[in-house]
Amino acid sequence: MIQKISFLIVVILLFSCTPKKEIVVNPPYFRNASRGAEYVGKETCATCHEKKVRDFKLADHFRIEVSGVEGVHGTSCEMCHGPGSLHVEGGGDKTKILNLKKDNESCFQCHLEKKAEFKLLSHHPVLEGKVKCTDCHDPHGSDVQPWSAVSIRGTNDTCFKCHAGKQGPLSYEHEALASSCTVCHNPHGSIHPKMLLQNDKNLCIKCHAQVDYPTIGKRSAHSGYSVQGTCWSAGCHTKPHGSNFDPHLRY
Amino acid sequence: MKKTISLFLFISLLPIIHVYGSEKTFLISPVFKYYFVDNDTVKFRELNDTKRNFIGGLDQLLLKSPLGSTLDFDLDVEKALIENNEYRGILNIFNKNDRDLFDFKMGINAFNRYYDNTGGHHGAITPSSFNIDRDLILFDGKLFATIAAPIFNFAHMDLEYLWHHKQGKSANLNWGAARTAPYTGNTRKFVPGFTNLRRENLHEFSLNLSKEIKGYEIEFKNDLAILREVPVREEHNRNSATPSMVRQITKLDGFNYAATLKTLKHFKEDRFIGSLVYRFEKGSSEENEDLRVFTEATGAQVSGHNRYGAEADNKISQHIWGINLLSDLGKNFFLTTRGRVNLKSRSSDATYPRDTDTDGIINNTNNIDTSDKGFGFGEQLILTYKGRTAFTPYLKAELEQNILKLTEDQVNTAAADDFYRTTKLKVYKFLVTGGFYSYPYRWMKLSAQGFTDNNIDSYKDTREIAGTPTSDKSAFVDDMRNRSYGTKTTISIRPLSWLYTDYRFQWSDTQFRMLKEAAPASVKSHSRTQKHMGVLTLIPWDYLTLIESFAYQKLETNTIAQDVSSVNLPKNKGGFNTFLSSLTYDVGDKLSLKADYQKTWSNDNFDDFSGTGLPVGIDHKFDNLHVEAGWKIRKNLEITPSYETGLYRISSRAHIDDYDYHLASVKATLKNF
Repeated sequence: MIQKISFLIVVILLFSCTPKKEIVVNPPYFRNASRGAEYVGKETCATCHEKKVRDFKLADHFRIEVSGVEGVHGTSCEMCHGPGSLHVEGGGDKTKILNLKKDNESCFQCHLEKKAEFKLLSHHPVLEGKVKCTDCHDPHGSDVQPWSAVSIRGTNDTCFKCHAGKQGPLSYEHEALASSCTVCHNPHGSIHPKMLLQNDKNLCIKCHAQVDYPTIGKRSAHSGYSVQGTCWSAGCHTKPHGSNFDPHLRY
Repeated sequence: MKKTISLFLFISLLPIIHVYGSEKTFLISPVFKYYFVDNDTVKFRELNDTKRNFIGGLDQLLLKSPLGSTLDFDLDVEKALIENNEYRGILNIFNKNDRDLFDFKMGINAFNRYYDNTGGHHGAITPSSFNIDRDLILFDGKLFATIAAPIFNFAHMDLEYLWHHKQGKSANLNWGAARTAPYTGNTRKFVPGFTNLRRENLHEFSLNLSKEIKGYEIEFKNDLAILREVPVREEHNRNSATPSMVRQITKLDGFNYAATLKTLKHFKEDRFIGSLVYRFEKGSSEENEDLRVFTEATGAQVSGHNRYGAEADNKISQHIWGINLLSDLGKNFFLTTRGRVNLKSRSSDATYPRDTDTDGIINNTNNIDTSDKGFGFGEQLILTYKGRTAFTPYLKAELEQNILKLTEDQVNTAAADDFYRTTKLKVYKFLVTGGFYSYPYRWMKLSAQGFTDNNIDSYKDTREIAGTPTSDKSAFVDDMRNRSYGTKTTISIRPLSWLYTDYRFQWSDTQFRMLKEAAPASVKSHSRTQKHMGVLTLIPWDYLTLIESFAYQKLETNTIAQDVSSVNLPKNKGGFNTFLSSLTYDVGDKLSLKADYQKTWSNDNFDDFSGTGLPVGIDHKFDNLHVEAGWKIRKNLEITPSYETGLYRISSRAHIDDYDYHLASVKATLKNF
C-alpha cells in the first residue's frame, strides 16, 4: 500500500505540473558550479578569446551547438564552460568559469559512462585528479578523439606522451598498434589489469584466429603452452607492443 | 626530481612574503588524513593510489597578486601530499593587459603508482599465489616551463620545456613458472614478476613561432624529444626445488624531432576557413640488452637462455601533408573537408647473441635487418546542418588508404632461427558516423548517433621462408577484416525545474575476421558491448542536491577458442555495475554537508575455466561511503572534517585477499587571513 501511494505521489509530481517555459534542459552540474551566473553568448566570449571563438567552427564539438535554443546549447563556449556572466563581470576571473583543465565534471555531463569507467579497478587516475580529460583530448580541436584518418599526429601519439618507452621505432612492431592502442586497452578503465579489454587469451585470439586452432600461424605446438597462462603472461610473447629481436614478440 | 620539486615549491612560496598582509588573494588548504586498513594492504594501496596511515600536505594553495604595474602573479597548487609524492600546480606570471606580450608558466604534476606484488592466482592448487618481497612503487613526475612573448616585433614565440621522469618498480603481467603440485605436475605461470625502472627521463623542447601576414596565420613549430630508459625486468620461477630467475637489463635511447609548418586563413567574413600543414618527423631508437637466467641461490647460469650484448638501432622518418577546408554552404550548411598524405620510411638493424650453454661464450647470433616503406592517404568529410530550430543533424565520413612494403631478414649463424619475408601490406579504412542533436522541447534534449567502422588489411608475401608445424618461422596472415557497428543515444529530460534525468545507451558489435595463408576459410570472432547509464538529479532547493546514477555494462568476446575441446576457453566476459549516490546539503551559510556512496560490482564473469588451467575471470565488489561537513568558523576560515569507509571483496577464484578501510580526514581552508 505504501509503495502504491509513494508511486502515485511521484507520478503526480512528475506529470501534473506542465513544464514551464523557463525550464531549459541544461547540465545540472552548472547550476551549483556556476551559481548566480547567466549565459552571455559566444559574441561576448570573443571580445577576449577571439581566436578560440573564430576557429571553433573547425572543432569536432562545433556540431553540438544547436541553433534556436537560448542558453546552454546555443552558446558554443558555455555549453562546456558553464554560464559566463560572473566571469565577464569579474574581468576574466578564472574562478568564475569552469576550467576543464582542472575540472572533468563538465565533460561527464554528456559523457556519462566515462565517469563509471574511471571508477573501475584499473583506470587512468582521472577522478583522483592526477590526469585530466584534457591531457588526452583537445575539446577545441579538429580531433577531439585523439586520432582520425586525417590527423597530422600519429595514431598513438596521445598515449606516447606519457608512455614514451612504447613508441619505438622497433625492428618488429605489433601491427595491431597501427590500428590503435585501444585494440587491446580501454584507456578510461577496465575491470582487468592494465586496462585490458580482455584478460585471457581471447584478447589475442580475437584477431589471431584460424580454422585449425590451437595451431596459431604455422605452429601447432600451442596446446601445451596455452594452459599455462595467457599468451603474454605465460613467459612466451612477453613483448606484445613490439620487439627489437624477435618477429614473434617473445623477447 | 625530488630536489627539483622542492625547489619549485620554494620558489612558489616566496611571493607569500609579498602577498601577506596586502589585499591580494590568498587561499591555503592544509589537509591531514589517516587511513586504517585491514587485510590486503598492498591491494588497497594499488586500487586507491595512496599510502595508508598518515598523509599530510596541501589540498589547495592559491596566490594571486600584482607584480609591479604590468605583471600579475598567479600560483595555483591543486595538490601537495608529501607522503604520496603527489604534487600538481602551476605558477603563472603574465602581463595583466595582454598575455601575448608576456606569459610565463612553470608547473609540476607528480604522483606515485602502487602495484600489487602477488602476480597471478590459481585457486585450484597450493600455494595458490606467490609473493615477491618487493615494494612496488613507481614515481611518475612531470615538470614543465613555458614562456610566450613577441620577438622584436617579428613574430610571437612560445617556448616550452618538459621533463618527464619515472623511477621505481612496477608489476609485470609476464609471470614465472610454478607447478600444480610442489615441484611436480603441470607447469602454470602465475609467479609474480616486476620491472625495476632504474630511470626513465624524457626531455622535450618545443619552439613555436607564429605571425600573421596579410591575413594568413603562419605557425612554425619545432619539437625535440630525447628519451633514456633503463628498465630491469625480473621474473622468478618456483617450479623446482632450486628456484631460478630471469633478469633482463635494457638500455633504451630515443630521439625524435618534428618540424611543423602551418598556415590558416579566414575568407569572406569567416564563411570559408582554409589551412595547410606540412610536418616532417625524424626519429631513432637504440636498445642494448642483456638477459640471463640463473639459479637464485648460487647465481649459476641456467643453460640455454642467456643473451649478452644484444643491440638494436632503428630509424624512422615521415613526411605528412594536410589540408583543412571549412565552408559555409549557404546560411545553414557547414562542410568541412580534410585530407592527409604521408610518406613513411623505417629501417632497423639488430644483433642478438646467445649463449646456449653456461660457459659465458656466445654460441650463435641473430643478425636482423628490417625495413618498411610506404605511403598513405586520408580523407574526411563532415557535413552539419543548423537550419532547423533546435535540431542539428550531422554526417561524418572518413577514408584511409595505406600501402606499405615490409622487408624482414633475420639470419642466424647456426641457421636455427633464420627468418625472412617481403610483404606488401595494403590497409583500407572506412568510417561513417551519422547522428543528430535535438531539443524537441525546451525541457528535453535528445541525441543519437550510429556508426560503422571498417578495416581491411591485406598481406601479400612476395618472398617468404617456409614454416613447419614445430617452428613458427613465417608470417601467416593473408587477410584481416575488422568491422564495427554501433549506436549511442542520450536523452535528457527536465520535467520540473528541480528534476533532471539523463539516460545514455551504447551498443556496439565488432567482428574480427582473419584468413590464414592457404586456409580454406576465414574465422570470425566477436566483441559485443552494451552500456546503460542513467542519472537522476534532484535540486528541490538551491541548498539541496541529490544525484543518483547507475551504470551497467556488458562486454563479451567470443572466439574460436570456446569451440575447441582440447584447450577449451570460455568466452571472455567483462561486465560490471556501478551505483553512485551523492547528497549535498547547505544547512546554512556556515554549514554544508556532503555524502557520497559508491558501489561497483561484477558477478557474472566466471565461466567454466577448468580447461584453461589458469582462472583469470574477475568477480569483485567495491563499496565506499564518504561523508564530510564544511563548517565556516569565520569569514575566512573553513574546517572540513570527513570520514570514509570502504571494502573490497574479490572471488577467491580470482585473487588472494580482500580489504576494509576507514579514513579520517580534516582540511582547513584559510582565505586572505
